[in-house]
Amino acid sequence: MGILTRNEETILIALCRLKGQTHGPALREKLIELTGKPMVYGTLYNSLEYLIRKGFVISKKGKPSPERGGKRKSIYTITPEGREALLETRRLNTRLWKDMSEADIKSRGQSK
Amino acid sequence: MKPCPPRLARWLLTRLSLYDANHSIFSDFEETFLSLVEKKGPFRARLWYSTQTLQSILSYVRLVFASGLDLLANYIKVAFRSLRRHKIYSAINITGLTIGLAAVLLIVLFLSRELSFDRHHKNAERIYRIVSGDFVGMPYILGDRLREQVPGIEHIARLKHLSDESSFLLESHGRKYLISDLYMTDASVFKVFSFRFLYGDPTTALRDPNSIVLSQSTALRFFGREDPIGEVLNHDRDLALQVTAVVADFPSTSHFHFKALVPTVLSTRFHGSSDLTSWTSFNYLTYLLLSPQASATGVLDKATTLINAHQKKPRALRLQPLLDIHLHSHLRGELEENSDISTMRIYAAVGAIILFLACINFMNLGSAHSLNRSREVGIRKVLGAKRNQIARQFISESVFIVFLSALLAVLLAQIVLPLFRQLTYKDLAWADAPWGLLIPVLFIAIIFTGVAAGSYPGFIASSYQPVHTLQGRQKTGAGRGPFRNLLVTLQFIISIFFIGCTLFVLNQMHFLRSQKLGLDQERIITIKLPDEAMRESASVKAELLKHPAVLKATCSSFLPSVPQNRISSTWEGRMEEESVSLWRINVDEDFIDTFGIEVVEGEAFKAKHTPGSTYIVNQAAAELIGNRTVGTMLTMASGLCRPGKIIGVVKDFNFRSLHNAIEPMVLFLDQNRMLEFRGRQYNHAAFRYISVKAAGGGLKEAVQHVEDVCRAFFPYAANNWFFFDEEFGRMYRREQRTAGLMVVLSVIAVALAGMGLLGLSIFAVEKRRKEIGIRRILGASVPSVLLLFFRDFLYIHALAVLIGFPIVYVVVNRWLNNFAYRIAAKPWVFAVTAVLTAALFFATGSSSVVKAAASNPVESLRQE
Repeated sequence: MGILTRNEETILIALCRLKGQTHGPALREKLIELTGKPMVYGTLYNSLEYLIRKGFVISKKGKPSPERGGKRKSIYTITPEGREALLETRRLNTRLWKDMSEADIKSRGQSK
Repeated sequence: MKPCPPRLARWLLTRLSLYDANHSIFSDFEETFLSLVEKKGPFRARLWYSTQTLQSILSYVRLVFASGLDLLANYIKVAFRSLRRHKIYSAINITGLTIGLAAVLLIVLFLSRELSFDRHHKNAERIYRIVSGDFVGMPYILGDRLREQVPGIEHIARLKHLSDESSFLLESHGRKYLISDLYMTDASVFKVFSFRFLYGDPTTALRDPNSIVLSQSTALRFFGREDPIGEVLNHDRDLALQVTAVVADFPSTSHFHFKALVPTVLSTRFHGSSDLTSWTSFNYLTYLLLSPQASATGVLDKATTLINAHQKKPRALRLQPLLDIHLHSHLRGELEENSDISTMRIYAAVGAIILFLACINFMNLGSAHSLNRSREVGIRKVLGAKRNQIARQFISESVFIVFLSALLAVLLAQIVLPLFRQLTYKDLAWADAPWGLLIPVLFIAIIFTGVAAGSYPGFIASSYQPVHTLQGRQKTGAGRGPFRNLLVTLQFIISIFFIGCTLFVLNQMHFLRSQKLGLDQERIITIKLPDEAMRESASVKAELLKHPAVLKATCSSFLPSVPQNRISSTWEGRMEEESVSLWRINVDEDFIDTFGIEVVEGEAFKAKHTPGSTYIVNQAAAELIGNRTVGTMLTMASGLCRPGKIIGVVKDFNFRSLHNAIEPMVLFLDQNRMLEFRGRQYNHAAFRYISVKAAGGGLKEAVQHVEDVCRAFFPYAANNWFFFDEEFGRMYRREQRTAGLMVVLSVIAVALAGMGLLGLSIFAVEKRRKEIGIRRILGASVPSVLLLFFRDFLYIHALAVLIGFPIVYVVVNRWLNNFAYRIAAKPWVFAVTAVLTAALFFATGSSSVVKAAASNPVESLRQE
């Protein structure tokens, strides 16, 4: 199982925080909230598209709702494989960050 | 009110339906938009919607090309590098393509102008012109009968020049103007054709018998303003025409142009009462606007029946669609000179051939060049590139080069446009080109050329075995290979074809110019008299002769280059039923002397001969009349001519273009005199033209004098003079245009072929550099090395000659058959073509070989 890219990782984390299931606008809101950066839909869809192709996320058309002019919306759900991949990434991250303080990063060039 | 997202952005989103399979982009957008409206107001929300849409489209493109995009960037980078490294190769490639594409662009521009004629009329597809046999005119009365009796015709418009000669004198506020293209027409002309009315009303414009409609340019010329409604234009004191409307000029792409229009009722004043009622005078061009459901053949049948009820000999009528007139109609009495569809086809074919040549070059060079890059291909393959990725690289690279060339071609076409205008039309402009069609076509052509030209080298290169290429053991075969040889042979054939044809065309043009025309056309200045001055022709002539630089002067009804009158004639011993049409020019007694025409029998006109009944014929006519022509009584069926004696025979001179053989013609001694016609006396003004022969070296003074005389007699038409030989040369304008274009195009074609060969020979030499070195060390001479390289080339050339010559022969013969006076398809022209092409290719090909052979062999062998 491959390592997730940063983008994919962020999206999967946001998705998990939203109880593993949500639709586009809410996901985007969450991402903006988490990263503090604006998010273009196109970028979001690109990343989602890759996640779908890898099988980490599935998309289903939901019920048409009146406030959306009767249009169906896509609901994204994280799959077990997606959770597994996110777990693995988290483990890797913790391994990587273990015993690393900010000071370690700042003191560039000096060996410990 | 509910705020709405920007319409354009919304439309883009729905139309493009990006990400449609898995995502509900449209409704997501809407939802966020609505929440933004609440938070930040409609303006910010709309701004967000637009930028989001744009950015999303961009990132969608990135998704689609995904990995491909990075590679593409790499391909382009590599393409640039290889362009820079192989300068000669890139120069040849890009120049060739640029020239080819520029030529095609210009040809398309030219053709689109020719094809757009008369399309500005709204109902153009439903407009027809009715013509008979080889003549454009119809009796006026036919139009009336058609309108009354034949269903399916919505409107009819008839046109006729008001004066027989094409110019007409009008006067306003004491100033005189000569006006050409003044047509008499029906009021319904505005319903048949699409006119743009600037002032005035189409329904009433031609209702009054004394009304006149001016074109915009004419209004400006006469009155200096665009709205001279109500102004009066006078003709001959007793005719006052009132301006009722001003309409926009027709665009140049129209088969006729008018300066002014007047009602047809004026015809009775100028052409007698029978003009509008006769069934036998075919004077009016008749245009029909058929209703959408009408059948053209039905209308034609009815018209034929109507006409033939009044004719001695039945006539075959035809309906010409308006849109076909410019390219297909070559009848007598056309309003303006038309183009010819077969010439257009030739241009289109030549354009295609040039593009084809450029593509061949591109393919040949590309495939030869791919050998140089076998290492790169090997490395790419080792690094995991798949075969189709290599092919894709070569194809995208060639598309890139074609695209680059296309940009340059647009630039080049723009630069040479002024020159191209001189060869074709002065008003050729990019703005008139059908860009809506041209841009997509150009784009498709770029992609197609790129893919077609790149796929063969791509195919070759992708088949290399990495092991071999990296070892440097790749089999090299530049300049060999059956496919490449086939392409080179094709190029040779095309070059031979172009050079052969051009030589023949130039030869024929030279032949035409050097033909003894049987008359003197040098240093002759001709004045065309306006109607009013025709009565004064004798005094104008006398005035002209006063200057010492004017040697001789003569008056005539037509010029020797353009007689327009054919009169049916009989002579002693020939019955009236057997009458023959003879061309006739009315002349004064100095005509034969001024034009240097040789009298072969009898005598020239002298003062003692009576005008009105004295004739001289040409040899063609003399042959027709038989022996003892001189002294025979000739009768011409014309009110001007009384039966009279033929007093002499002149040597045949070419009075029409050399497309035609010399026809029987009569010179008729005439002068201004009183004539009786149908019981009425009238003043017969005999002569339209006065030609003077200038003294050698005195041409400038003579011109000055002619101008002075013109200004003294008719200041309103003071520049109505011209050099006779220029007028005469005008008959060959079309041929000259063809010849000019042919020369240019064949130079381009041959240059392209030569460049291709140059490139190929450079590669061939590069590949065999070591071989040349070894041969030289072993004692081979430079010529023997040359021979080695050119053995193949000679075979190809021989083959191309064998195939090319018959094609040249057939095509050239067909073209030459247009001329009554033509050169034979001489063998020496073929020989010159063969030698010329061989020499040309040898010169382009040998330079690199000679350079390699002459260089020190050590240099080439030291490489490793």
